[in-house]
Amino acid sequence: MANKNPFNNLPDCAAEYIKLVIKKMRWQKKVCGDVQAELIAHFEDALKDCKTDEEKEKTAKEIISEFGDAKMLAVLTRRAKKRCWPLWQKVLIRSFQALVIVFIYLSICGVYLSSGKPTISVNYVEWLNNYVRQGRNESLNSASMLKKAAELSIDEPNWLKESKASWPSDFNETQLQKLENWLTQNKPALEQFRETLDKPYYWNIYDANKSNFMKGEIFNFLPSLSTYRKLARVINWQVRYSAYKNNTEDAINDTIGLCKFGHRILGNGLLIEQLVGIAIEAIGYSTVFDVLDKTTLSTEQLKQIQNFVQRGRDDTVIDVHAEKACIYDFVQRTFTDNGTGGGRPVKQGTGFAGKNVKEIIFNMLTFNMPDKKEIIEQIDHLYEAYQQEFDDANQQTLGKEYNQAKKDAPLLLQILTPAVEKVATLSWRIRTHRDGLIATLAILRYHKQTGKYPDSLEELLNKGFIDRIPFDAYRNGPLTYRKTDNNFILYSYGEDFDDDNGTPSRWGTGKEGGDQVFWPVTHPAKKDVSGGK
Amino acid sequence: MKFERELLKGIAPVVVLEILSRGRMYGYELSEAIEAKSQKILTLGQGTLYPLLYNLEAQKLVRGQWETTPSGRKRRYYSITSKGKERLETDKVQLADLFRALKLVFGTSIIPA
Repeated sequence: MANKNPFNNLPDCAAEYIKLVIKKMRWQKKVCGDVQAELIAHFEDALKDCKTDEEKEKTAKEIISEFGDAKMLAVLTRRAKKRCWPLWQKVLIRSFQALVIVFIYLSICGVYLSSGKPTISVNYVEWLNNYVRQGRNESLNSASMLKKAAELSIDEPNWLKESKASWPSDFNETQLQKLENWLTQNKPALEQFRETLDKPYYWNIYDANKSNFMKGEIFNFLPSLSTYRKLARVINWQVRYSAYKNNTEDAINDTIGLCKFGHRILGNGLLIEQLVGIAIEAIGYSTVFDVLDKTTLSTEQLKQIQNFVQRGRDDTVIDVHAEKACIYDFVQRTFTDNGTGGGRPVKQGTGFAGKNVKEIIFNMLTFNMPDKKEIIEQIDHLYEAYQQEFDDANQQTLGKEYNQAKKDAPLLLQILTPAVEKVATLSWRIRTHRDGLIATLAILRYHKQTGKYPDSLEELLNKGFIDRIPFDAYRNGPLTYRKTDNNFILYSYGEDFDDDNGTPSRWGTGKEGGDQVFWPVTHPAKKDVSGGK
Repeated sequence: MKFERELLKGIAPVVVLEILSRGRMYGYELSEAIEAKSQKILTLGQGTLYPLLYNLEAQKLVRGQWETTPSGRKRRYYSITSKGKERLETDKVQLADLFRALKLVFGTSIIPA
C-alpha cells in the first residue's frame, strides 16, 4: 500500500524545511512534486544510518544547515526548472503573457472609451429647419406641392429608358403613340407641377422628432427626393413633345419650370438634396439645348429663357452649412461634455482620434484623445475650405488651404471628402453649363437680329447681348467660341483642362479627354443630359 | 572545505559532469561521491547541488530519470548525455590550461603537479 504521507520517515524539522521550500517555489504542481520527492529522498538517504530519533533530528538539522536558506533554495530551484522548458514552450508562454497584458490594456482602453456619456444639448434638426427656411413664410414653400406632383408622376416606361432617342421624331409611329399615352397618364402630375411654380421657394421640413443624425433618422425624406428625378424626366419629355408639336410656348414655360425646379431644390439643404437639384437643373439646361437645336424660337422667347438663366446664374451653387450641422450633431453624440464645450470621444467617436488608423490606435493606447473644441475647430476649418472651393469658379486647381485642411482633418472627416469633392465637380459643371446656355441663347439672338454670328464673345458683350463674358471653370477663362461655316461652335475644355478643338465628350471625361460642346448640340451619351458621369 | 562561492561556481559543473561520466547517480549519492573523490576538500553546498543539476538538465548536459529501487524507494538518477560528455572534454582542456597558467604565476609550491 502506498505511503500516504511522504514525510513519515523524516524528522519534523526536515519535513517543515522541505514544505517551506516547496511553498516558496510557487511553481507548477508537477515540478514542485518532483522537487519535493527528490529532497525527501535526499534526507532519507542521509538519515538511513541514524539509529535514534535524536540522532536523526540532529543529522537533519545539519543537512538543513548545509542546504541553507529555504527561500534561496526555492528561488534557485525555480529558476533552474524554468530553464528546463523547451524554447517553443518559452516562446508560447511569453507570447501568451504578452497577449494577456495587451488584452488587459485594451480592456482598460475600452472601459475608458465606454465610460463617458455624451450630452445632447442642441437639436440640430431644429436648427436645420430654421436655416433652410431663412425666416420665410410657409405659404411661399412649394415643397409639399412638389412632393405631391412627384408622387403623381409615372416613371418612364422601360422601352423609353432603353431608347437612345432624344427627340420624338426619332420614334416610329407606335413608339410615338406610347409616348403620348405615357404623357397623358402624367397629366395630373404635370398640372400639379405647374401650380408649384407660383410659389417662389422650396425648403424641406425635416422631422424634428427624429433628430439623431448619427442613426440616419434625418434621411427619412430621401425616398421622396428620388421621386423628383422621376418627375423631372416626365417634364423633360413633355417639353420635347410640346416643341415637336410646335407648341413652343408651352415647351418654353415647362422647360423654364424644369430649370426652376432643380434650382430651387439646389437651395441650402443637405448635400444629397443639392446633388438632386444640380441633376434636375442640368436636365433642364440640356432640354433647352435640344429645343434650341430642333425648333426655331423667336427673339423674345430666346431673351425670355436667357433672362431666366441669368437671374439665377450667380446664386450659391453649393452650401455646406447644413452638412456641417450633421457633423456637429455627430460630434455632440460621440463626445463627452465637460461643461465648457470640451470633452473626449467615446467609443463611436474614435474616428475623430487621429488623422489615420495608426495615429488613432496610438492615441487610444496612450489615452491621448483630442478635445471636442479642437475637433470643432478642425470641422469649421475644413468646411470653410470646402465652401471656398465651391465658391471659387476655377476648378483647375484645388486650393492649397483646402488640401491642408483635408490633410489635418481627423480620419472620419477625411472619409467624407471624396463625396464632397464629387459635389464640387458637379457644382463647377452646372456653373459652366449655365454660362454655356446664356452664351448660346445670346449668339442665336444676335444671329436673328443681324443675320450673322458674332466674331467673338467680346462682340456680344459690347453690343449688350450678354452682361459678362461666359466663364469656363475648366479653363479659368472664357468659354471657347468660333464661327464655322454657317454655324458656330461653343465649348468648355472639360475636366481634362485642355482644348481638344471642340471634340464632343461628356465634360472631357472620355478616354482621350475631349470637350464639353454646347453648340452644335451633340449627344455623346444619352444619359449625359443629367450632366453626370 | 568551504570555497568562495564565485570560485566554486565555475568548477562545480565540471566536477558534477566528471563524476557522472563514471556512472549515473542520484542526488545524495553524487554529493557523497564528490566529497569522497575530493577527499572532502570539495563539498558542494547541498543547497547548490540540486539547482546545479536542474541547470545542467536544462542545458541537456545531464538527464534525470525517476526509478524505483528494489527496496521500493523512488530516486531520481542523473546520467551524463553525449552533449554533456562533449562539454566535459572542452572544460577539462580549459581547466588544464588554467592550472598550467596558475602554476606559472604561483610556482610549484602552491599549485599541485
